[in-house]
Amino acid sequence: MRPSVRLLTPEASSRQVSRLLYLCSTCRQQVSRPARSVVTLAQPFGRRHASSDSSSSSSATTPLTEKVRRKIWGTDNPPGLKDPYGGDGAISRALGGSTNENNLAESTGQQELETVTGEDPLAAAASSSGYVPAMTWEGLPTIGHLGRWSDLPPSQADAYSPFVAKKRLVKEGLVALAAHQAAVELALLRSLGKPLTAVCDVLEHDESIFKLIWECKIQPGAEGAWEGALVFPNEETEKALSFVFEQIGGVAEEDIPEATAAEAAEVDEAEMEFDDVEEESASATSSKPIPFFGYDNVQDEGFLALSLDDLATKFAFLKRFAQLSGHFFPDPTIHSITTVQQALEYVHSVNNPKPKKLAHQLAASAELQDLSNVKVFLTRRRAAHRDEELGRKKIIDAELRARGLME
Amino acid sequence: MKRLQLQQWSGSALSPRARPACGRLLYAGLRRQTTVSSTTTDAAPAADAGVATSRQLAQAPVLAASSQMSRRLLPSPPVEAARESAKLAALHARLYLPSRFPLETLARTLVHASADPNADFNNQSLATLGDDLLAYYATEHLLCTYPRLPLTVVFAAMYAYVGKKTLAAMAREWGVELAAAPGGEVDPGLLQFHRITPGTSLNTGPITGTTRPNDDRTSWRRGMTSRVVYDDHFGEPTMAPGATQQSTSNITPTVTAEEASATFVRAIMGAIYLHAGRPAAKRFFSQHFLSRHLNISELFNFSQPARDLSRLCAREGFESPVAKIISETGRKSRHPVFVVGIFSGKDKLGEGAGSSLLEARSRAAVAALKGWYLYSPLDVRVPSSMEEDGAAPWKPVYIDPGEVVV
Amino acid sequence: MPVQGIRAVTAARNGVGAFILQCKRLDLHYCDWAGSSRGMVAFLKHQLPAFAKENPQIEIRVSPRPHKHPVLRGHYINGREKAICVRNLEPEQILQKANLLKEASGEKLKKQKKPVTSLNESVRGIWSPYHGDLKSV
Repeated sequence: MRPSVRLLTPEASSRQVSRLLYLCSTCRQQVSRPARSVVTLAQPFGRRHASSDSSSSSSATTPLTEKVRRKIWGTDNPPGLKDPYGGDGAISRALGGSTNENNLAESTGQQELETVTGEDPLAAAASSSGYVPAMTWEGLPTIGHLGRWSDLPPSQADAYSPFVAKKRLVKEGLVALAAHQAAVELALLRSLGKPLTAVCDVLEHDESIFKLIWECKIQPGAEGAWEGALVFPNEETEKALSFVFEQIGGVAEEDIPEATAAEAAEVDEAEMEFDDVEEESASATSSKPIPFFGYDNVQDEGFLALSLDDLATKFAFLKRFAQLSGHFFPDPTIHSITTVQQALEYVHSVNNPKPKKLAHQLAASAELQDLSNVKVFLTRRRAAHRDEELGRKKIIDAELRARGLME
Repeated sequence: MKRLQLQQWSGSALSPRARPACGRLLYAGLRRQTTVSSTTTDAAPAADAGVATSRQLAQAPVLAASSQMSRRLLPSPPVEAARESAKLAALHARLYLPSRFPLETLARTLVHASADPNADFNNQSLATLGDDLLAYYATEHLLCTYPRLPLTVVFAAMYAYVGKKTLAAMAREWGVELAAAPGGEVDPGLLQFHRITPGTSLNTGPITGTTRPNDDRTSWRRGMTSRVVYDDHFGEPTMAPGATQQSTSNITPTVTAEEASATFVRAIMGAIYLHAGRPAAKRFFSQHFLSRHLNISELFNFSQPARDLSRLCAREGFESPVAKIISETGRKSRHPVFVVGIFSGKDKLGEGAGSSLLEARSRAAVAALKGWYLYSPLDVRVPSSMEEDGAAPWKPVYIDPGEVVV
Repeated sequence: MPVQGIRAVTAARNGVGAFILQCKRLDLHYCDWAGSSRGMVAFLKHQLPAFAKENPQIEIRVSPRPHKHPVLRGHYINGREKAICVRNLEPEQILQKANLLKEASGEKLKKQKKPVTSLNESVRGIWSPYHGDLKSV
């Protein structure tokens, strides 16, 4: 009713309303009219303003929220649950919630019965299996984590094996070995006409294959050309390696098992496959393989002059090299690298970074070290250092120990 | 003085001998000037820097700590430490020591016997040699420059040139700092010695155990001539070998800073002579000792100058000296000035001014005596100049009959 | 005893024989992080070796002093110290300051009122009223 009319109504008497409890005037009037007709109950508690449509068209039972929903959707049968804002929640409903919901659905007959029908078998099943509400969380299925995603145990999907080798090679010799191996492989694949990145499927060659690769020499052509750069030590090596890399290049998507090249000229295909399986299992069970089978450095350094002008070659080389050595090349560096030598220089600069602290830089400067009257200190000089230089510290320490104040 | 050829026995003088029972860390031969430790300089030249820089630095403080703890056990710094000390190198350059003079010997000259009793590592032997050299060069300079100087004044002048106080002042002027306590971890560029406890009385009464006979007798007269025979070049009694001056025989002897500094300077002199030879030693002496200023006429202390002058004239055959007033003023006033001259015949021997006739005459006599005693020939040539190559034939230096006996 | 000797000590005349440079030590402090140390860092990298080579008799110590301005501190033989803060200076200016410290004697700065300081009184002698042409009244 209108605010002006409100004041004319008599207020609740003191008998009905406790003086200890404060009620606003609206609530007081509600209390004073407890059993009114259904019409007045249509105006819900707390409603202060007149609603024009309340007197006209609404039924006694539609709450405001229902009316708003109908207004939003523009129809008298808005889609969705019967009472999305009221009643039990989705979880309790899923577990076979209150029966009120079901009753109301039956009575109106205008609801979407899908969710209700979906819940019905569940509710039935729960009630039939003796559902007991849980008091603690033991045995309940866990959803989500207890604070951090890392609390959850790792799953199968979390396992990640990186493409680039886990450990970066630091020794100059090993880095050179990786570069040499990559160069030989690429040169071979180029000459065989196979896709260059196929070799990346083979993580590690067999020792004998690696030995053959190690023995190969690279003699780059003019301006570091790749054609005809690969020089084999003998016929056998050429044949064996060609065969192996044919296999590698030919069947790219499968995990090619390493080929054991027999020291004899003939290699039996079937025999090889059998041996491959053996080698694979053996390598899988070995605990900590020595990188490059214990080889220290390359025999031949011709690979340094190879040019990486061609983008495909450059990419394939750097990809293989990254896989073997663990050093990855950022984009600007890839752009600026034109020869294998430059790639190795970049790796060297990563392994030996320029010292950040001035004291380290001064320590590295030979000129300053040669001067016998200059002394560079890494840390701030304190009084304790002065005491140590003058020989006082040991006396102080002895005295402190005598007094029991130290150690 | 026989020339000692260092080259013949340089190995034994320079080589570090094994110390008893001390685990000394011997660093690789690379010289380190930083506390960014040797591991970096050792690893850097290697092509396979298999260890990352951060790990090297993590190792560095550990290495330093263990080396420091083991160095503390040594009585004096190890021989290798000489190359690491910037202080030592700076001292070497400051004194313009020849390049033949190694840093290790300089480090040795800075170690007093009270710090390290091992004679191979302290400066005792070098100091003995240096002391003799200094005494010799100073004596010949004084005696040749002032042949008539009385003995007492000679002793005083010797003390002024090469005495303990002067040598200690020189060590300070050279910028040599004193270590608080000796030890292996001390910077080798510091003077190391065992300090005497403050408050110890230095004058312990009559000294016994000297080279003089009858030194135990309390009222035995010690004359000037006997000093020449028995005592050292300052006129002080020398201790007989084997006898210690200190009444209480300490396990570790203690010395004053002055004594330690003086020993250091003597040791430097001895070491220069050994490493660089006699010419370098003479040059060092003339540059550092003789260049110092001394007014010898201030060292005289006459008790009866007029009497001494008259005896001197009698001895020399001059006419007896007569004091005459040259000029005077204010005789009866509060501040008279008398200028008196002492004449022997017509020659004025000396002149003095004073506020009384007696004072003026005494001053005149003193001036006359000083004029006699401070005679200096025009060309001074010392006997050690004959040791040089191509020295001119020796002309005898003027030798005086001595001071007047009264 | 006709004459006694008085014990004295000779006075040093630096430079008459050998010259001892009075600056015996130079401490250089810098900071790796602060911008005011940039000039000092450049000085240490490029100009310090030449300076140290020219002056082998000065003990030079370089040590970081984090989060402080760069400082040159000279220690002298008379025991005194002189410190110069070289914040925000260029390397050439820092070299100038280093030379200033090297050439200093360590004594407090005094105004020299007289042109000559000497042990000798005078070359020509002090006038005396009692000698020479005595005027009698």
